[in-house]
Amino acid sequence: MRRRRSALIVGVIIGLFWLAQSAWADHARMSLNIGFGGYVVPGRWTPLRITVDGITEPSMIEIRRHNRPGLTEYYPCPAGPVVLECPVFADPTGEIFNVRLITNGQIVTEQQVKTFDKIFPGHIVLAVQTPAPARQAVSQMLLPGEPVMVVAVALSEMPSAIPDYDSISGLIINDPTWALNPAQKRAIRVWLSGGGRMLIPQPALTGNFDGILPEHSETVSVGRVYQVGLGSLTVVPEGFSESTWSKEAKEWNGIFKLKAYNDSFRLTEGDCFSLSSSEKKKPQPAPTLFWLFPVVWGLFAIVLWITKPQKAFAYISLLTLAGLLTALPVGWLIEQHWHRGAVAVTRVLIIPSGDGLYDSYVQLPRTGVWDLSGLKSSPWEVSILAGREAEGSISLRPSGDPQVNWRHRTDVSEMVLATSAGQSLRWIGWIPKGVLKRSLGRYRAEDNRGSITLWMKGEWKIPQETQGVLRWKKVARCPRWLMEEREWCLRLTRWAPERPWLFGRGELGGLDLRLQGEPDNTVIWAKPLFKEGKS
Amino acid sequence: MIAILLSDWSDWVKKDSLRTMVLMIVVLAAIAGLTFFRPEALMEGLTFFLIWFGYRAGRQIWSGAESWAWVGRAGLSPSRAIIGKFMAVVGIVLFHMIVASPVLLIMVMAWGVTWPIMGWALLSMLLATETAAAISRLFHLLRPENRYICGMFVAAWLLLTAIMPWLQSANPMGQVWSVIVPGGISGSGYYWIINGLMTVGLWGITGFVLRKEVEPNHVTQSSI
Repeated sequence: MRRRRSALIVGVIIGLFWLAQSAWADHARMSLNIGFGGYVVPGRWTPLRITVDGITEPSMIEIRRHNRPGLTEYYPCPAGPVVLECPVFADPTGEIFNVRLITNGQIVTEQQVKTFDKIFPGHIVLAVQTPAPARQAVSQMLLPGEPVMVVAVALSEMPSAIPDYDSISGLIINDPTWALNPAQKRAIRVWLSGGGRMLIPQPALTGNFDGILPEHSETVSVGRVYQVGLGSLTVVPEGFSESTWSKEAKEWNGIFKLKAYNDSFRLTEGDCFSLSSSEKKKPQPAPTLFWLFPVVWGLFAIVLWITKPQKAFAYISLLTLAGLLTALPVGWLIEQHWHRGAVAVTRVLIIPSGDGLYDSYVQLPRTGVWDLSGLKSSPWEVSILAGREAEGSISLRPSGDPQVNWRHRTDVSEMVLATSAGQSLRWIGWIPKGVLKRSLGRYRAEDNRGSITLWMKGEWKIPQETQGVLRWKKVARCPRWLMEEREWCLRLTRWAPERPWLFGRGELGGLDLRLQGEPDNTVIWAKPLFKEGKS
Repeated sequence: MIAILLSDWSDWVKKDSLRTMVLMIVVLAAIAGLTFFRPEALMEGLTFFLIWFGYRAGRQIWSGAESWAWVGRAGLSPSRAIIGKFMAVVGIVLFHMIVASPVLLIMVMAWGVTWPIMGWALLSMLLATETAAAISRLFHLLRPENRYICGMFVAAWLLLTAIMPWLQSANPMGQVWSVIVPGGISGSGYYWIINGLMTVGLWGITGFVLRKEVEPNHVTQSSI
């Protein structure tokens, strides 16, 4: 009897345990981790890692900014345990991100993360399998000016999204397995191209370098520094040893070439893209055709009604036919000349690896909220498409605040929303390599307005073809169209003074970066020029 | 059936086309002028106008011969008479859309509305018109002496689908809105199912009532 009772109790306990475990397994869990080692560099992009477990069907992650609820991003979340890496811009003034897990339209769980809990306004160096003395030496390389934050990470913890490397000033990979996934390799390559500095000790050379160095690079050899775009990859002849590295903090800075934090350049909007006052134009008023056509059309109908002609139906048919014939050119004219109430300026910076950085500025109009049903404001203000996998829309709320929705794939992060101020929005993001057309050759850039200009060593040059050979002809002054963007161009040359830049204006072949149906969107792009065979 | 089609179209052209066409043009021109051809405003306006047209079509305001007249005197079967009336409404709605097309064309070009979205919105309107016509037709058949009953039931349909949470996806105004704004391109599937079944059901009941109403006359005529 006692044995049976004991068995019953054990059975009940096991059953309860099983039920609890099932309940736990079915319960959706989410945890958030921001920055590197919990530290966030203000004014830079930083990774927000979202660990989700316990969901059985595909869901959606919603990231909403506490201070700007209109700026919302959505990421698809597959079923099962998953870690999503979502790049977020750490606003210098501090930001709170509300992260929601949404399944079948229901909020399953919601959490909050703050960017101002642990901030580090300085250089962060990531170190993989780096001995403690070496990490200490690196952290001291800018002393007595400022400390450098060295964060020890595993290879698997390296960010996969390109913008997440914006917070990183240096990278040491001492793991001979070199087990990086393609997204991580691509992100590192782009980061290097944009000015990142990486160090690999000799043992790591046995690994695979595909995807890091440019395709035409020679075989990697010990003791060399490889220029990758604006950055470099250094292969040191020896591994880390206390005697060599621990006491030579200055040698570290010889590799990383870090300057005081405030003087550093990065591929961020603040450094590359700055709006001049001329770009902040007022929204273009709607053309007169918007009123003219319906007025003429309506008046003609009223005349028909008043006169009540005998062949009214025939007149209406004639009116329709005339309207249709007129509508085509009228619609075309409106499409060509009307900005749909929003002014947009888009600029693209192609970096040597073939990827790019872009910046879109959208000034929304003050008029145009037609809250007909009280459901939601119209989405037809602005739609932005970028790359192949990302799209979004901006609309105005009845309060006048912009409402932004953006969807993109988690593994490519082609575009991330940057800032919003009143009725203007800034978008910056990365353009993956494959999106750009191959026809954009090294010295040939096609522009639908025929305007190509080169700024090289303080001189303006335009292309001139003589007997089939393309030469750059020096011109006395900057072309007028480029004068408007001069501030931006000069900023680029300050950013990388040793590089000549090729500028263009107009559509960039193959790049789907535009406002929906917006032919007059100004696109300005720049590309650094390099000699053949060198990167 | 063809005779009903031609007769209804001919009657509409003679008696009512100028009024409805001019009214539609003026309404659409006003919305277009005031809202810069805003898609939501124009499409909602057109939907409302077509529902009003459907209500009038159900009441057979311009029709020279009512459905039972065709069944009773011309010897047509009720089902053929119903299909004829149904197709007549489709034809006139399509003509309305053609007349509205200059404004819709500019709207599409100016605002970047895609053609599939436009097509789904117009199809949604067509179904809404047929539903309104079916409601109006049935109650006009049941209570021809009460001139308000058709409008009341069409208004009740619009009101209930707007208020009741579980019916909101069947509201034509909401449907057109959800098609025009980004999201599901064809709007809600419930809209097509609920209103489609309702339209078919109401036209079917109309046919049944018609058969009952005209049967004695038919027998009398035959016996004579």
